[in-house]
Amino acid sequence: MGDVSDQEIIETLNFSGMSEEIQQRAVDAAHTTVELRTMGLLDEMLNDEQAGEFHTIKEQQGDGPAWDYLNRTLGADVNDLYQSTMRDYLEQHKNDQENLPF
Amino acid sequence: MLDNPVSKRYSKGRLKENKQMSNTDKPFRYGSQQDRGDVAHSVGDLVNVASNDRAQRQDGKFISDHELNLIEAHADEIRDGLAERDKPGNEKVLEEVVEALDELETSDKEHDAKDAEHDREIIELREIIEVQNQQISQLSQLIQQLGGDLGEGHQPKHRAEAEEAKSDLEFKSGDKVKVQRPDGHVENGWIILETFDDPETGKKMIKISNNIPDQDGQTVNELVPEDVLAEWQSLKGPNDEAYEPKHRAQGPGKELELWKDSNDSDDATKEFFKPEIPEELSQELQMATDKYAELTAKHRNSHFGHLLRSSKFIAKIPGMKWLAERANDMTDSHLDAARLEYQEAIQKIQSTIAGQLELQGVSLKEIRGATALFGIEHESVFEAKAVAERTRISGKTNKFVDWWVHQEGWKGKAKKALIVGGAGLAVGFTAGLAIPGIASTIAGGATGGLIARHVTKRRANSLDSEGRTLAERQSEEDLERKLAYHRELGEDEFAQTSPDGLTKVTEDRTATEKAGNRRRMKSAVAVGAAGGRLGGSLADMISPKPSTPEPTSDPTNPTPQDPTPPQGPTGNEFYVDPGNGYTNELIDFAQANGHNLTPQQAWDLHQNLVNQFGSDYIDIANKAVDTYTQNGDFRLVAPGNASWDPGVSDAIQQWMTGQGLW
Repeated sequence: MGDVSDQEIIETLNFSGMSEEIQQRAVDAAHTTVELRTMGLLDEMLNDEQAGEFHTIKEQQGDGPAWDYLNRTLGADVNDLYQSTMRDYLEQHKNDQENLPF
Repeated sequence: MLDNPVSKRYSKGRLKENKQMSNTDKPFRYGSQQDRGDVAHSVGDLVNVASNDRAQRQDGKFISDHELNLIEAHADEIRDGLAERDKPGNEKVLEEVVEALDELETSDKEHDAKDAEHDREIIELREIIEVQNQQISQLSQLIQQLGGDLGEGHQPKHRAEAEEAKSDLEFKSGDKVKVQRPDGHVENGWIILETFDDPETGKKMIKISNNIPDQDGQTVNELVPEDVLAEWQSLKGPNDEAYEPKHRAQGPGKELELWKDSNDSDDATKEFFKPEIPEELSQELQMATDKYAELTAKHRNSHFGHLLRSSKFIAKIPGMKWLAERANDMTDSHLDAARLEYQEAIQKIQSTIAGQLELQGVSLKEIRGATALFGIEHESVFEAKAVAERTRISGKTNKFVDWWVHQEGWKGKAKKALIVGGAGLAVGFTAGLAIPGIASTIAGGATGGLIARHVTKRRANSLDSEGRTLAERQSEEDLERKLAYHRELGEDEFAQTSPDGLTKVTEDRTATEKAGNRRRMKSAVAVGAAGGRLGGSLADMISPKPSTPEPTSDPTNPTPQDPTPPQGPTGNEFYVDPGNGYTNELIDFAQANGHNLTPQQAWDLHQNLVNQFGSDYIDIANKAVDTYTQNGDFRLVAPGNASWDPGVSDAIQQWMTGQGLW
C-alpha cells in the first residue's frame, strides 16, 4: 500500500472543488493530527529500556541510526505506521460532511 | 544593619580567598601574621585580641584562621545577630522564624506540587485562549472567502472588524503592485515574488519584479526592506473614511512606495461576514476538549484505545496487532462519555456557524466544507493536548517528543504538518515549558498558509535583541529558576549544618532571590533564619550568652512583658518573575510576611493601592516605565528586581489588617 497523497486526502475528506487554501488547510490539519498520533504511538510503544537505548543511540550515533533502531525494535516501519495512521484518520473522517447535523 | 568599614574593606578579598581554598579542600590560612593580626583587630569588637595579635574567644581559646575568616567575612551579620539576640523579646521572634522555616520546609513538596499545577494551568489557559482566538480568526478568514460572493451592499458590521481586516492586509507573494518612485513616477505591472526575513538585519524584505523584459530580455527585480515601503489600500471605514497606508515609508527621499494594484485588492474591498460563536459554546468546547484529552492521556491503555480501537489499518501492521487487540478489549465509560461531550461541543459550534452562513446565502457545499474544516482543525488541537498530557504524565515522553519535532521530517510531510499545527502544539507543549524547543522549531520553519503566517508574525514580534524567541527566553528563565532552586537547596542544607554554608548563602544571595516567587520568599525567610541561627551560633561561640532567669510563676508578681516591637512588613524588595502581574506579587508579598491572600483578595487590594498610589506603585529596576495597560488592566512591563514604591508595603499591611488578613 503506497503513501497517501494530498489529493487523496482532499478527495476523501470531500474538499474537492473548494479553494486551494481551504484544501491546503485540510491537508495540513490531517498531517498534523496524524503526526501527533504517530508520535504518541511510537512513544507509547517504547518501554523504558528501549527508550533509554534509543536515546543512547541518538546521542552517540545520530538520527539515522535512531530511525533504524525504531524500525527494527518496534517491528513496524515508521513510515508504514504513519501511512496506516493516516488511512485510519481518513476512514474516521471520510463521512464527516455527510454526518454534520444540518 | 550595623556598619563597619574596616570589616567591609577586608571582606571581599578574604571571601574570595576562602572560596579558592575551600575548593581545594585545604584549611584556610592567612598569608602572614600581619594579615592575621589586621583581621583580628578589624573585628576587635567581636573577639578578644591577645598580645600576639591572635583572636581569642571569651573563654580564652584561640580562634583558628578559618573561624576568624568566617567571622570577619560575616562580621555585620554577627553584630546584627548579637544586637538582635540581646534585645528583650527577640529570642522568641527568632525561634518563631525558625519554626516557620521548619514548617515551610516540611510542606515544601506539597506547595511545590500546587505551585507547579497552578502555573501549568495558568499558562495552559493563556495558550488555549490564544489558540481559540486564533482559530476563530482563521475561521473568519475562511468564511470571508466564502462570503466574498455575497453581493453588493453588504457592509462591514463593525469598524473593529474592518480594522481587523485591514491589519491582515500585507504584502504576499503574487500580489500585483504599483511602484511609485521618490520622484512621484508611478509604474504599473510589478508583482511581489517573495517576502522573507533578512537573517542579518532582521527586517522583512520584499522582492518585486516588473515582469517586463528589459533590453537584454531580463525582467527587473528589486529587493527592498518592507519598512521603506508604503502600501496603499482602498479600504474604507464604515463612514467612508480612508485609512492611512499600512506601511508608511521611513524617512524622506529614499523610499519606494508600493501600492497594491486596485485590480488585485479583492481582500481590501471584500465584504466580510464573521460568525459569532457564543462565549458559552466556546467555553464548553474548551472544557470538553480538556476533559477528553486529559482522560485520553491519563491511562496508557486509553491512549492506545483512542487510536486503535476502531483501527482498520494500523492494526494490520504486524508489530501493532497486539496493541490493537488490547485496545479492543478495553472499555472506559468515562472516556466514552468525554468523547461524546467533545463531539457534541464541536457539533454545536458547527451548527451555529452553519446557521449563520445559511442566512448569508452560502451554498450547502461550502457550509459543509467550512464546518468540517473547523472540526478537523480543532482535532489537531485536541491531539496536541492529549500528547501534551501524556508528556506531563510520562517523563520519558519529553525526550522522545522533543527529538521527534526537531527532525526535518520524513517524506517532506512531518515538519510541514507540525509547523502548520503549531498553534495546537503550543497549547500543550509550552504549557509548563515541558518542551521549550518545539515552539521555536515551529516558528523557525513557518512557511505559507494562514496559520504559518500567523506564527511567523508571532516569532517576529517576540524576538528579542539577541535574536531569541519568547519560547527560548522562557526556557532559559525556567532553567535559571531550576538551577537557582538547586543552589538554594544546597545552601539551605549547608546553612543548617555547616558554617561554611553561610559563606555560600551570602555569596549567592542574589542568585537565590531569582528563584520562583514563593520559593524566593521562602528562601528569603530561610536565609534570614539560617543567617540568624548561624549568626547566633557564631556569636555564642565568641560571646557566650549569659543565662537568663526563669520567668516567675507568681501570679501576684508577674514579670513585666516587654511589648513586642512592631514588626514592619518584610519582602519589600523582590524579583518579578516572567508573566507575573501585580496580584502575583501581592500574594507573594503576603506570603513572605506569613499571611495569605486569595486571588480575589489580591485584586481588591490592588484596586485599593491603585486608588492610593496610582497605577504604577512598583519600581522595577532599570525600567523607566514599570507598567502598561492592556484590556483596561495594569500590567508589569518586564521581569526583574523590583521594590514597592515608598509607603506601599505599609499600605498593604494596613489594608490587610483592616480586612482581618494580617
